Amino acid sequence: MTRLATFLLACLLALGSLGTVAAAHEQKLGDLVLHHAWSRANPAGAKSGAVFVTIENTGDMPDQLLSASSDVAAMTEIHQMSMENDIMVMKPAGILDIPAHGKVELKPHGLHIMLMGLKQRFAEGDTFSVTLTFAKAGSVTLQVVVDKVDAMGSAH
Amino acid sequence: MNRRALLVSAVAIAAASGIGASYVLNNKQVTQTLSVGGPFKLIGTDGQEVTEAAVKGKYSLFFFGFTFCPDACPTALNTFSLVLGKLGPDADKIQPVFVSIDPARDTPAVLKEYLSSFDPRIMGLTGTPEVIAETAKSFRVYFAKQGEGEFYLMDHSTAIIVMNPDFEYAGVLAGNMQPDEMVVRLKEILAQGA
Repeated sequence: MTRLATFLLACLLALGSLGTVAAAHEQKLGDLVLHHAWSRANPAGAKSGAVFVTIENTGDMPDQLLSASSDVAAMTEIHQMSMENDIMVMKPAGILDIPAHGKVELKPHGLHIMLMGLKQRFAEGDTFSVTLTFAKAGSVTLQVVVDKVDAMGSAH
Repeated sequence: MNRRALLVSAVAIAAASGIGASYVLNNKQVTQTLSVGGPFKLIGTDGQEVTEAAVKGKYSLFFFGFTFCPDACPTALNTFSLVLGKLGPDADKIQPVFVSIDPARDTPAVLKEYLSSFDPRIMGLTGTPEVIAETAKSFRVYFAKQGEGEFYLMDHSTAIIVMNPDFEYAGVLAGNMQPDEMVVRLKEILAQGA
């Protein structure tokens, strides 16, 4: 997708959901608000990627993130990366609790949606879809925006 | 966690603290007793044999990782690319090296394609599982396979081991160090060596 097309798409998304171009994108699903789903441009031949998003629960009842799926990868799982001293450890995170009036952040060096067996390469500005399924709220398809290869998400 | 992992961890923590890093770098007695790094015989991205002779004459930065890694590895390689750019002429004195600890996936061709997205001065190395295990051990780098099947992952140390132009251990940098900070550290290391 060209940069212009991406920009126009971003404008449309922003206009549709918020009525302002400047705001970071967010999507709503029942009591849940999903803030800015993003990923990184990946190196040539990369077979894995990670998607980050902040899940906010504005409701009075806790929810749970059960699973994630995407057409861009052969397998999609919620993973937890952690640093134990200087050792990077990564493992499936299982079911994620989303507390009432709480927030769970999927971000670099922590929880993330792990894309394994990537079928395509992402360049900065690309978008793709990831579907999250929650125990109570149901499913939502996120529009994931691809950021720079070294993005840490702080700019959003 | 085993003993060598703890040792690297201790060194990495010292490096991360800043004061510890210059202590390690300034105190030859400390660095020599650690005995980190040693001769190796690995395979380059064109399938050629590569030994420590290829990095002698420069300060080499060894990062052990794998291409199926979604976070720490591309970040570290991107940092290497940015650091080489920021170092200007001093970049000629630095040789970043990416050693795969996942040789089952990372053939020379896979490594070559992956590294084509980063600064071409980064050297990519792989090898047989046995040789990779020996090399990681000599660099005090911990790694372990996590999971089974096609989509297994690798846990691994993210410390960057610095070797001097004589291929002697010269220090360690935290793998998640920001490019600007790494440039400062490397200039310090270069100044000490000059």
